[in-house]
Amino acid sequence: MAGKEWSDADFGGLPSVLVAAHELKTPLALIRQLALLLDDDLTSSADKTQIQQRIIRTSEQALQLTIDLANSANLTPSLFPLEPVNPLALCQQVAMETKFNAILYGRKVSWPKSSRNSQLILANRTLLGRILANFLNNALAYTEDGSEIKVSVKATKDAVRMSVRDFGPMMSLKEYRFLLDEMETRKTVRTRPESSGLGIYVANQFARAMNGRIGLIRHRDGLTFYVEMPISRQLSLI
Amino acid sequence: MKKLLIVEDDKNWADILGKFAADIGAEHRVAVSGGQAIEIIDDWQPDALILDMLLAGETAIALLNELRSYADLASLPIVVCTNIDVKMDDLRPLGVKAILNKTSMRPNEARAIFREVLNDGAE
Repeated sequence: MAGKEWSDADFGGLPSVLVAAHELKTPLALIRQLALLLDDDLTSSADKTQIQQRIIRTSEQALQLTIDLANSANLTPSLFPLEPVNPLALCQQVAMETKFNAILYGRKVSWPKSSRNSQLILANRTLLGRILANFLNNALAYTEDGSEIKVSVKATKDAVRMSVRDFGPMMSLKEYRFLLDEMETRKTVRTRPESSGLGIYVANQFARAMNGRIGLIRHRDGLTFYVEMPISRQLSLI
Repeated sequence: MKKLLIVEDDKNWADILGKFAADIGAEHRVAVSGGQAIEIIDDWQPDALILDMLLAGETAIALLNELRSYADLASLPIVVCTNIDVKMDDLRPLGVKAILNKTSMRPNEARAIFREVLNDGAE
């Protein structure tokens, strides 16, 4: 089972429970502070409406993280069957789901345009959607106001690559090599120097459960995280 | 108007801390990295700095050390705002005046500390 591979060594020696606790502490601390502001005399009515929206979104994200963690520990094929998935249609779904966060963070996210000749891939729609959402949330969190995030879909001979390119801080070569090494040895990764990388860990587990893989490209001005999924041959023949 | 630089890469927290600054009548700007903080400090010369400990890119400790290395910035009042366990004894030598714990702080506590460090910077 994929969840068994979540060893302490995956998080730079930190106990995995500690990492999960920290990742959940972050949204809970934010929800608490936002709730305190709702009860604060110095908060205007207009601000309270916006704060309520943020509480809803943050609690949904925290809940999604717990669901992802639970799923990553129980990735049985019967629970997450593989089926033909249109990657472009999936991008449109993820675009809708992450729209609020993109607005909140002030980022411009560009999505691939629809195409009649889109290659279908063999994947689980739920898991693949969560991989893209994790990549996107990572990019939103580690880029600056107004910067662009580009989602793209590209077909190769046997697979389709779905990429999330950000224009955040440059990663050092040392850090990049470390991450590549961890990904190649199928451990989890730390996405940025100060991140636990729990979201990418989950993405890695989900991709492997679908016979896919995730990868990372370092640029002078940011990173690209991608997931490659095999093309659905059966459907191509129909 | 007193000037407060908030070094925070989480948009939600940056907005919350910015609101606290506005509540006490202080002007504020936000930096999302240590490098950007140094640029804003040079250009804007804030009276105090609020610093998240888990920054992307450069670490907060590196920024604290860098600030201490400049004679004109060594006395800039700094408040660390974090949800990790840090001890004042470890941070005091780096110029930190107070710690705000994100998991337990309350709005009035944050405003009081902001006022305190801004007045401290004026002395």
